[in-house]
Amino acid sequence: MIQLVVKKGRETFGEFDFTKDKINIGRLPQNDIVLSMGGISRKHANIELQRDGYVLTKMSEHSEVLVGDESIESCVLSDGDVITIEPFTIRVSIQEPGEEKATAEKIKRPKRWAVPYGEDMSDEKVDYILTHAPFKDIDESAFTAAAPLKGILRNDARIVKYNSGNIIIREGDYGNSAFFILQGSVKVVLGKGRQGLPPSLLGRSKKKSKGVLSALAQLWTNNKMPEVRNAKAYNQTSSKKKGKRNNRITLQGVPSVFDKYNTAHLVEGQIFGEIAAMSRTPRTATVVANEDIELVEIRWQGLRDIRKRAKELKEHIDKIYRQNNLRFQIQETPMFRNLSSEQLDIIVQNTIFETFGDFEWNRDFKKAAKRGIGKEPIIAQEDDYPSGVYMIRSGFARLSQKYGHGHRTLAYLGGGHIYGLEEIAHNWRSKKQVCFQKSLRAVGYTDVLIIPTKIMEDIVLPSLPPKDLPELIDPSKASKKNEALDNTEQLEKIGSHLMEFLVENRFINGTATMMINLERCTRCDDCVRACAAAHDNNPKFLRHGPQVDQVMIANACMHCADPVCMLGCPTGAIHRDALQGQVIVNDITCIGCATCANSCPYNNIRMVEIRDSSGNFILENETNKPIVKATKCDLCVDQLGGPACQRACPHDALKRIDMTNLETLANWISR
Amino acid sequence: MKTFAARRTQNLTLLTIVCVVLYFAYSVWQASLKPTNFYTGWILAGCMIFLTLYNMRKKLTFLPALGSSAMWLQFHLYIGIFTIFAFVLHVNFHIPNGIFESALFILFFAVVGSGVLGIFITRRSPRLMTRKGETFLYERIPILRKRVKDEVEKLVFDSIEETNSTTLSDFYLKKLHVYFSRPQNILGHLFESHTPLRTLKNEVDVVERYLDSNEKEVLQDIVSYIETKDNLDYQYAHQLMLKGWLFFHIPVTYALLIFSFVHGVLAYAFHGGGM
Repeated sequence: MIQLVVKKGRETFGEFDFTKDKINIGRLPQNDIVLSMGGISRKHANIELQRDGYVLTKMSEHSEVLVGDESIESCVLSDGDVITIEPFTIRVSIQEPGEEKATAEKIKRPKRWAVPYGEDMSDEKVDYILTHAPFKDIDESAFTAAAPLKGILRNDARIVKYNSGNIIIREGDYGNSAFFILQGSVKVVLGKGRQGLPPSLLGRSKKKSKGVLSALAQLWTNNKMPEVRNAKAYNQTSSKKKGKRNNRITLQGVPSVFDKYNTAHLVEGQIFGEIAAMSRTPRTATVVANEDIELVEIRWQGLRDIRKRAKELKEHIDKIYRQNNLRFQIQETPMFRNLSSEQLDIIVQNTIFETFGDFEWNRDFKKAAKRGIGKEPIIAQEDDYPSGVYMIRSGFARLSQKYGHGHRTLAYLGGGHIYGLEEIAHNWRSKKQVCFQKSLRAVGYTDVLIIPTKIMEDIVLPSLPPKDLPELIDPSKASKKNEALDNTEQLEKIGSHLMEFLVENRFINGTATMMINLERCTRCDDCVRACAAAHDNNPKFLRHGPQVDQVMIANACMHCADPVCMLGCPTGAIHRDALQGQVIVNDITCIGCATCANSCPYNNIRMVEIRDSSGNFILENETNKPIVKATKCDLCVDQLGGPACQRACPHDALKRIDMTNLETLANWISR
Repeated sequence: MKTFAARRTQNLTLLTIVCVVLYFAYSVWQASLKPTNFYTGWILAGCMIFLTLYNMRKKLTFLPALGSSAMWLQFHLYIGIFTIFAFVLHVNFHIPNGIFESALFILFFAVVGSGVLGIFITRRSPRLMTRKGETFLYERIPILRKRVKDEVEKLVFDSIEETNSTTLSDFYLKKLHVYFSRPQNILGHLFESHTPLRTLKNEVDVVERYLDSNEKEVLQDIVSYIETKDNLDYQYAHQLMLKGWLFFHIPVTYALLIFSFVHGVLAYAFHGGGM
């Protein structure tokens, strides 16, 4: 018996079981499998049971039939072969006479909340949370029936307890959750300047990678079939291994640390960790339990849904942000380090917090890229009065200058970069006033803090020693040099063409962008093979992608600074690794909804049908359809020595580049 | 990040120093009547084994302690050049005359020659392919070629109905069918020859005289497909070469290793007190 599953793209076109000896495929209605599509012949191919087995034969001279990647005239089919008759693919499953076909494993299709965030959450606990601020003030009727408040708390939240001195979140870690304080209080510990608490105090340890022996074992333990998974793992409902939860890190020498570093005190009803969770950025401070405390930890998907429905909570969070985080952020900026506490308070009160562009910019970025630079939301314009210093909080901004009838991109600014300081400092010191020398535009979305000029002139600039003040601007030379970043040399190496391309297509978002120098790449595919060897024989990227000049940006996850793929994930399966920040997919909690794949602006996430160890597709028990999972590059997070692709390239053609570091890019391009 | 030029200068300097040291040692061994051929033989054997290990290293990409593949390739290249120098000293600047040693000699230079050719190809072909235009995955080229052929055939068939003329379809069958059906001008592409394409375009110019305005439009579309197919063939030819040369280099290397082993055994068996 032969089973043929016909697909067109991802869509299943039909499933056919045949016991007869000859099967005709083609456009005519009398064929056994009718493929009505231009380019397919009336009698395109047939499959006939002969002595050697099922033989596929091409029937028409004008037709093309591929088995695997090979164009064939006639060949004996094997179980698992994939026949391609563009645009259809036909998966072959052959059952020998008398052979009992291994039954495909069936599991329930995973859904949102199939794996609750807290395994021991109960209705009583939800009711208990709802008696505390700020949840008690939330109007439950504003929520939908599909995602009620109680449902969100039941499945996206959990109650966690910490003892005095326990570290709850650590500065620099990536987190996907926020915390509300139910009982007790916490201390937010800020590092001195930009140093932060030393790693030894924070109990940091290196991530556990595979050992040498288990790495070597991959040579013979990797599966031969693609995308093989252990179906039993999907039947577990716990999101964390038992016993892990209580592994707390305690901050050593708590009183002295509190004395030594700047701290803030948060009490019941307050929230922390929400900025990093919602903006997909690292935690900005370490938070330590001040006493034995009880918290509600809520994953960002739940927090997002609550914010959307509960205006009070949204306002509450925004207010807390202004009270706490804004001050911390300003305090950490070197420009403000000489200011007194009172002066900082004045700055916090006068700082304007603005957002430009669309937080979910990935939805229409391709159209936006076509519209060009002129349509990008303008943050500050060249030749305007310098109204303040702009600090990029998150997202990206394009720095450009008029050139002819257009604008030339000089650089892109990311979190922590400052715009407008040169002009304001110049005007403060010189009688000859200047306007903004460049324009600043939001690329996608950009969060900006604006310190008004008057505050800068009255408080900040007088506090800066002369050596820290930027040089005076010579307007006649300003167009030739970009003092803001002092990157003229780098720009020359990168070239305007590549720079414009990277910004327009938002490749600046990548922290590990796979760039291939096509003038050195011999297309040997050693990178692909290395990737497959490190991932159970499943390469996680395509050595193909957009090309500009001699550079190709391959379809490999770039581990973006702003990973928009995480935006819509209903289960939090796609998340950042807490220690190193790689964007990774939790295969157990992925429900195969493809939201991340559709959200990724760079087409770097693929949806795959998974198999059990015998090579059969794992099916959903109700519909019998294959279970689908998202898969992408994980930057070899569990392997020794980082990305295997880069290490495997014999010709130094492939490099994973952090696009926030223009110098690395410039040096690689000009190598 | 060290530039490629700086790396090349550093490696060449090191290579020169090592070669000078070996030559000095060789002269001393000869002057002191040491079994020089055995010494250089062992140096050669060591180098050849190390060079062969590169292929194994490629399969162990997940062990970072072994160093990157790029670093190994650099060692492979420069130790390869050093091996030529060691070989010349080993044969004492003479061409062997025995059958076995001549075979060994030929095998050695087949490996060296294919290696040098490989380096030449791996440096030249990627540049040429990139300058020519969009590059394609090797495995996708047959599918793209088929797609181009289908598009052209559709144009030709449709034109018969639209124009009531078979001039274009006759031309397609005579001159273009084979061109679109399989890779063409592989050698021409490798040697950057534009003659085959020019010849085909000349044929197109000839037939254009006999077409009406509608057919001429179709012909223009076909010309653009001819150019697309030409680029596909160009990419195919170079990628075939990039993949193909190793199918000579590696088997010959293993043959050389076997011959070298036998040579070593024979040398020790029949040294006749030369030690």
